[in-house]
Amino acid sequence: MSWADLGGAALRAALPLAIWGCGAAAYGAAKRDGRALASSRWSALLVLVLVGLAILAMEGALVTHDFSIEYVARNNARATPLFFTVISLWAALEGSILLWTIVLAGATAYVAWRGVREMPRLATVALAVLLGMLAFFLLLVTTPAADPFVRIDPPPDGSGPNPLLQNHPLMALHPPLLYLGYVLFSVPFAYAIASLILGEGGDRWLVATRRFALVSWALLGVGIVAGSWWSYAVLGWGGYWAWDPVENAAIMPWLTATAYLHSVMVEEKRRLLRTWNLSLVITTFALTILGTFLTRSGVVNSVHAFTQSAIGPLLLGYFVAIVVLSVGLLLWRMPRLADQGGIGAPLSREAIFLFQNVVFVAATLTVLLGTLYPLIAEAISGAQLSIGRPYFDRVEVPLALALLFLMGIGPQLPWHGASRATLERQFTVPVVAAALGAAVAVVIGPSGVFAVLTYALAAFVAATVVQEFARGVRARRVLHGETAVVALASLIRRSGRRYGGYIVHLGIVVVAVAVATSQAGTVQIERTLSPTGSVQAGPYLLTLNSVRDMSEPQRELVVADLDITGGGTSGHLRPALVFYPNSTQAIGSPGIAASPRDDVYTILAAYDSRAHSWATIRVLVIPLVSWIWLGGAIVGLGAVIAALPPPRSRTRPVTVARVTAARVVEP
Amino acid sequence: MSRWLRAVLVVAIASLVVVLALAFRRAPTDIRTGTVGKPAAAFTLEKLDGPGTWSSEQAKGKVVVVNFFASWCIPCKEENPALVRVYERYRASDVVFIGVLYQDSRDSGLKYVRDNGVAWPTVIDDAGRVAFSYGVFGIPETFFIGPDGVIVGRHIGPIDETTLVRGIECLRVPNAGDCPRASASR
Repeated sequence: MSWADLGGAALRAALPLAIWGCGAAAYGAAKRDGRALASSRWSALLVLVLVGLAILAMEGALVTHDFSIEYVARNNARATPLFFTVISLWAALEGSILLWTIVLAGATAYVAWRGVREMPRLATVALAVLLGMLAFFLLLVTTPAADPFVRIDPPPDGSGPNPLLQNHPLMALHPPLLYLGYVLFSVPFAYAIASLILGEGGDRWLVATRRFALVSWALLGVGIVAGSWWSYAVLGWGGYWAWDPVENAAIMPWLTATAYLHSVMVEEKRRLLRTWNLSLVITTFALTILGTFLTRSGVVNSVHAFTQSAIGPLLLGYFVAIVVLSVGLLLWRMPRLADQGGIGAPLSREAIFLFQNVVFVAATLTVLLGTLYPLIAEAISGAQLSIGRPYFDRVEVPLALALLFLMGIGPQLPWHGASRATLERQFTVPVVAAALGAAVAVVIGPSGVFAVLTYALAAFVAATVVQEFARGVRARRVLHGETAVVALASLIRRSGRRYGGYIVHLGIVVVAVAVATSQAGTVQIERTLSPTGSVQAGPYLLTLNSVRDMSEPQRELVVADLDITGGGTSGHLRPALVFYPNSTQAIGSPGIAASPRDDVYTILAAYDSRAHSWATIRVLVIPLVSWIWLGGAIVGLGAVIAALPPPRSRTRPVTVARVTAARVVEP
Repeated sequence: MSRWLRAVLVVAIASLVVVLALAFRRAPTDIRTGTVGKPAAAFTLEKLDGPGTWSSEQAKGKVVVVNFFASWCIPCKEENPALVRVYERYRASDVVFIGVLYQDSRDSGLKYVRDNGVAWPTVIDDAGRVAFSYGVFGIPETFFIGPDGVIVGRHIGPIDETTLVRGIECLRVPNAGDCPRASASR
């Protein structure tokens, strides 16, 4: 049996099982039929096993270079290193849909076995929704739309993966993280739909899926940062974010999911915003599908876009079905979702969260408009055009600053409203910090109003976080007699959701400062150098040693050997132009000297192809850019802490005197 | 939710779906010629480097190369050396080069022009209206206009020296062969 036979058969067997499971779960929930329910649970598990088998078959085919499978022939070659061979699974459309399917199958099996035990009826309906969605993706991978196991007459060698995708190990991380983020949001969506179908007015669905939403949000966020890093390290243009349609497609659901993670707290604490939360979950999920559609249908031009295939209309149909059904359900059930009471005081945590939600949604809508504007213009006038970066910068930067401001305010305000004394206690230190932040920006930081505002607001938010940690630690020390370090650890472990959230805020602050500084303070110089010639860029002196050809099994390179000295650094940089056999265009591969202060980013822009007697080197000195990746990691760490279940509480006697003392230090 | 809000929601979703569906009318790899073959839209824009305006009327009866660029556009920097070389080659001829700064500030545009040796006239199209009337897909983009004022060809993406010279020569020299209507380098 060939790999294609094995993989194809597994997928074709999984499709009817998923359809059966979907029907059985729906029937089981409607009739409260235990046998039907058991059958749907086993179906979910079997589908996971079968899709897993298909993944193994594809990996087997890739590793053994089975070029009788078209996908392998197009995305693999004998010279492709093993690492890139393995990750070629998601190098093109069909494989990436297969990866999507296995993640969805995993989430579905989890709900079938864990979720159904915890909330039988709600989870069973959610299971039916998930199996229905899984059936759609299995339909894609078993029809010509995205069949990964199509056979051809085997060529002697394959053409290898897309050159851009075999230039950096981050390709192993960025797509799977994004897919995990996209797909895991199916679970909150399925529970929300189940809650609407069952007509539940409460928030059980929300409690059941809180952790899924958080994990999915974190994976999407870290995936986006990993993608920026990849773009920075591979594409050789010195930037990390270009408002490319596919980047936008990833940031939109992340924005609405961030709004949701905050408004969910309002529903938990105040039983408000039920319709709003359901709308945000539906919107986030619909945006993940829209993102997939934009990436894979080929309707927008982008470095990420896969070539056009029959999958576009199918994904559009899926998107329409999702939107129409979920919005229809929401409108139908709306009378049951009415909130008891209102938001109340404008200076309360819930009011700030709501306002912040509105800003998040405005940011999403403006990105959506900018992304779809070329399609809208084309639909109306027939003209093809695209929206430039200035539109996004002009619109999104003020919104981002507004969000940074609200990020500092929201967690400092109590629920229901704040007194004047509370405001003074909570905001004196942060306001002083903001003034200091602005002063730092004016004296040593980057120039420009937005950069100064970013520094001031970043200092404001950072001060609120430090203040919260300091008060928490002090309270624990008084109450439990712990040392500062133990108190900090216990705080994070026992109130992970709260303090994990603060750590996320700290990560966002780091990213904001790094983005503002790197955008405003980049120095760029371009020089044509002969060997031994040098160029000064900021404190760094770069000297060209030689321009030489290099040969590797899967590619040819032209490398400029540069020495870098000054600014406390000395070393070598090797910017290169890389030529792959399956591409007529050279791929620029930058040489980067990274440090916490700044990155020296070198690009080989042109060279003398006959005698190698000169090379044009573009040098960018980009301040603080490495902190963007670190900030992303801090966000991820905070999310992990927030997602961990709290330890079982053990009651320890605490004296009245200690409680009183603790109240003094913790508001 | 009021009836009015519901109607807005339904119309918004329906419009979104129609826009997405209409995008399938063409293959994404097919860059349509759009305004190619049509008379170039006349325009008068402020000069980037000083007071006064530049009008397309000034280039009437000549071969015109219109290049849309911006300081924030990385591929524009990539193509600039080719533009500089070809401009020098035709500087003394009747070929008119005009650079249109697209969605950019005057200060950034001026700095770009100085740093990159742009010697041909440049104008500022801050609102992007001229770009819109030319059907610019995404910058950098270059249009070739014949002496009769008709757009004969366009190139999307960073242009190289050969494509530039071919686009100009087919307009200057009778019987030099058909002009390429549309090309792209992305």
